[in-house]
Amino acid sequence: MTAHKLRVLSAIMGADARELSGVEISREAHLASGTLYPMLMQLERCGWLESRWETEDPQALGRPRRRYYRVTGVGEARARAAARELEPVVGRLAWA
Amino acid sequence: LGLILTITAGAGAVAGAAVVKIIADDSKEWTSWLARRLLNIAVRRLPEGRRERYAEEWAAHLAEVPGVIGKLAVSLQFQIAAFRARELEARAHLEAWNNKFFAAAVKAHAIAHETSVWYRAQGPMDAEDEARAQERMLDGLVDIVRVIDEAEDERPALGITVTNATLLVRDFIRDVRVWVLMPRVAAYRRARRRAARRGRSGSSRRSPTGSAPMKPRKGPVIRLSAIPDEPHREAEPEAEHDALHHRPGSEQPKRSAIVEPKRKRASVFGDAPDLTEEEHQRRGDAADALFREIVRRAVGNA
Repeated sequence: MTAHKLRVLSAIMGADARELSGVEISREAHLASGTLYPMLMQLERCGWLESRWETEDPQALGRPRRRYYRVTGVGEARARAAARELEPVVGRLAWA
Repeated sequence: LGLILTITAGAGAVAGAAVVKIIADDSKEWTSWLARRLLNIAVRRLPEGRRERYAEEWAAHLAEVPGVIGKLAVSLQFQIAAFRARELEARAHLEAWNNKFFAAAVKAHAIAHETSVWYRAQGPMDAEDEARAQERMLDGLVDIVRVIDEAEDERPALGITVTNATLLVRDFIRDVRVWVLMPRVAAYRRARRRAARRGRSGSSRRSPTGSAPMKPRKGPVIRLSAIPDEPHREAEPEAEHDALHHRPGSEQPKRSAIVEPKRKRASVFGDAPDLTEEEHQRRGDAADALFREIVRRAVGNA
């Protein structure tokens, strides 16, 4: 588990709705798109994340649909294990 | 003159402001256009199956970024994202292909190994057994060819395909030679020595495993020597001795004795000990179980 991956998982798990769009994750985790999206692809392939399209009609919204990312059970277990390992160094994380 | 200059300066300032406004508006339009263009380029660089999804997802991302400079920076970041995504996809594809190739390689090695154990356990085999073993080896080769064919369709890196194929086929041939043919030769030699020890070799030397006459030996391997402490040998008629063992001109009757060549040939396995029937069966069963387990794992990993 890299620090960037933990930041991404932390950002999603720390959100109220437990799911975030790409741009929101980018802001929360302070990661540039060039780093973020390949990582999201990787985490999705590993089964740590799952994603869904926004259900609202893009015509009504007046913008393209967002894609929301949610942490799966496997991803959450891995993130919590990594957070426990890091706890002596960085302290307790809000969601951990 | 002062008034004229003031009016000119004022007019110039107004004109300049208008030009700057036009340039700013134009550059905003151009920058937005450039950002959209860069986004499209990035999407085109993605693997084919992901383009549709990320075209929409990244457009939504870009729409939420404030300012044209910000949009331009994000669209440049998408180039990096597309490059990395392509790299990840290629790596995953290659990994999957290598796993399949590895599975075939494991199966081929398992077949070669199993066949070798079987050969070693059984010693010289009859035509039916030999055909069965050859069929297994052929199955292994067919698997390898199938994987290479599939790889051609999937188009991984050509250099890696050729290298892997070459290495695999080379290993396979080595396995066949070392694990199968060498023990076969060793078993044949053992059988020949046993037959010679039992004194069954007649005037025309025959193969212990078949009826085909053997070629005469090259070089002196067997010599005559007196063995006085073997009474049963004395009863043997002289005609039963191999013509090759008889030394003409010798006054004293000589009995044959097998003498190993002084310079032993290097063997990969050396002489395997003679095995009981139960041990043959046990080894054969163990080899069969090993083969099935390895193939099961290999197929599971593919």
